[in-house]
Amino acid sequence: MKDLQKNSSFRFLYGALSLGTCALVLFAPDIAWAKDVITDTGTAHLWAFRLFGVLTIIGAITTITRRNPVVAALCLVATLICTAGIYLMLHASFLAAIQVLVYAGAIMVLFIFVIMSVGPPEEQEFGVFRGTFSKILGVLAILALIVPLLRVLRSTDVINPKIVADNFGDVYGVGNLLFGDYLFPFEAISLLLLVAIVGAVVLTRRRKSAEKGAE
Amino acid sequence: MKNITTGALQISALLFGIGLLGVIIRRNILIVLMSVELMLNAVNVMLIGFSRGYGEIAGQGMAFLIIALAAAEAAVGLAIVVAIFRTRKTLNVDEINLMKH
Repeated sequence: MKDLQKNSSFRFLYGALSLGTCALVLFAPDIAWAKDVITDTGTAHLWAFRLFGVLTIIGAITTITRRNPVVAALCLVATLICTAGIYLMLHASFLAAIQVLVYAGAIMVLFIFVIMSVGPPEEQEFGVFRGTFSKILGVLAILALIVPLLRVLRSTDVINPKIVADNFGDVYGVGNLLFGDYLFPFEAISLLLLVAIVGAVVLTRRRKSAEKGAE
Repeated sequence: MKNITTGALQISALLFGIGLLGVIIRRNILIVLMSVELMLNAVNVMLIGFSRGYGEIAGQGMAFLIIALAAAEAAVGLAIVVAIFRTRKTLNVDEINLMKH
């Protein structure tokens, strides 16, 4: 697997697949043979969804297994873009755009700023609790949590999806919700963002020495 | 995958498990924060999957608010990481185990 990751053609293929499928979904109304991808009842729709899902899972596993944090951050960017593709398949075009703009575009850039400013990580010795045995134990614990959940999802019918309109989840629909029923949470989250900004500035202030006094 | 909502839930479960694995296993605090973002994305995928399944736009509204909240949390979390790195000079979660003074 390491050779596969170091091979640049693997990364090119991953990037081409994810971005190409996103572009295909976005421009599908104008491409005759691609209309099936955005039609809910078409088989190409489900295959595109599966493709985005597989790419997301591959990206997530790659993210948590990288030693270099910059590579992990870039893998997370790719994962988030593929998640935006999943949103596109689920009739959430506004959320897909917001995901790419805010999550992959702003939050991950903030991550990369901080990673670059703290520098490369030092060599990590294997402590008592983080060796290979505990890694295997962690994987088994997560499998014990997730496998029954997946088994339930495979066996029972959670829900029969309703037929939604073509413009479900566009900017108008979500905007109507945010400025209508969800007006209070919308305003509250802007207050929360203000608190976060002030908090981030306060936390990273450098303390002046005692003689000069705090600024 | 019976239908698209079940597929979204399966992807959400796997993403959450992978994010939780990253939080448990990794020692670099930045990777741990990235795994927390993965878990938040898993919840978003589930919300949007259910929103598509029931035809309710409320799920997408909640996912929007969660994205904004994740931005705020990432900003404050990274500020804490920067402040810790300035004093401890380490990013290893096993070594950041003493309170100040």
